[in-house]
Amino acid sequence: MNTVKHIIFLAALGLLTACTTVAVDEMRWQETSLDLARDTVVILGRHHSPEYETEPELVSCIGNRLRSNMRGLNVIPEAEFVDLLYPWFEPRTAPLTMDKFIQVLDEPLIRDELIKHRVRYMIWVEGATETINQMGTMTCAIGPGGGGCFGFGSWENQSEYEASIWDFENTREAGRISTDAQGTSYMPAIIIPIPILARVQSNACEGMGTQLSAFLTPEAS
Amino acid sequence: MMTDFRSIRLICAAMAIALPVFLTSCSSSFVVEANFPRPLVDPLPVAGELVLTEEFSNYVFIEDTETRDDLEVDISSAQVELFQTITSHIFGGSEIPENQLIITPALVDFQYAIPRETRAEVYEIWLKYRVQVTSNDGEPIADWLITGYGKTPTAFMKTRQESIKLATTIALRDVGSQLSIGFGRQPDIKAWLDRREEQS
Repeated sequence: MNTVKHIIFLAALGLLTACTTVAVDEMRWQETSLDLARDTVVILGRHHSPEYETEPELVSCIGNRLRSNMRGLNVIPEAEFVDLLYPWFEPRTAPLTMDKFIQVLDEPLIRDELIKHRVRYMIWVEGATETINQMGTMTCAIGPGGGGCFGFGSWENQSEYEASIWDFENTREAGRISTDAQGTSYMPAIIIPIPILARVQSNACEGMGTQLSAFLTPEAS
Repeated sequence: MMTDFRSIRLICAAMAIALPVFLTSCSSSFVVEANFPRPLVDPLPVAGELVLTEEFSNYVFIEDTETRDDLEVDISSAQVELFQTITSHIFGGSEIPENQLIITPALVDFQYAIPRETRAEVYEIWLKYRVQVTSNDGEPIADWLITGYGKTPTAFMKTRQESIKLATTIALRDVGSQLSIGFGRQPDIKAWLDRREEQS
């Protein structure tokens, strides 16, 4: 009975999560519509900045969120898309503005490839999750009789992402969605370290994905 | 007393197991393997032959400075794959022998930076290639330097090895993008292509 109690206690500790605050803003410049049976959407991370790198896991997470919110929607994975259009969407060559994108579309090979894959919206995600504050100390020791940790640590993570939605059919920027998320994770340790993590990046993904679904199909929301 | 000896033996055994782990934790050696997509570009109206030197086909970067951890990165197969993929798609071919180019690449510099050195949460790789282009009869046409850059963010549970491999692949893709888009635009090559077009 005691073993069961211990397992339940440890499982409960593992499920502990710290709080995260998420703020989502939307700017719309034109109406959007999406034929789920025909159109495809591609979500791409910005990789041109020397200071940060938009995480591929975040881009993939937003894609998964769109797929689950909009059943039947075809979202082309980032890696597959950049391979299909290599070398035009590499960090050095990817168009940073709509005007540059229109110039890229002058290349018939690129335009044909986008039409072939029925790309309707191209969503560029820019930003990163960073640790902005760390506090506390923890000491771990190991010896013949066993080991353990003692102490307390905490760190604060901040996510700042902005998605820019480009309409390929009208060659215009349809709007922008920005997500800011912040949360503090804690790790108390009395023999065993117990991580109480703030799911900052996944909450930012959830906020961004939900808002993007509503943005792309306003009639459904 | 017996217990004490057992403890000492246990500690010695643990140290014997742990020692190689600590010794190897500061050095790493690995092979970068990558496939590259075919470039989506219009082929040039000439033929191209890729010449790979022994040094290029077997290149291994070895970091042996005292201030940095030992590192061996074998990028030979990845760079061969890149140049073969790109050159097999950017040339449309030509029946005229004078319309043939010989391309000889060489890696002249491999540099890297890790988060501990830059305080940025990214691994970075720079690759500098010299691409020598000559005509079919050996006349030098261009001596082109291409620098490729790749970076990858640090991530939980991602090793230094994985990060450097990924950053190297991104740097190689960058070289490939410059080669495939820029080959016909490189001033010396463009001038040669224009001359060939005028003559034909």
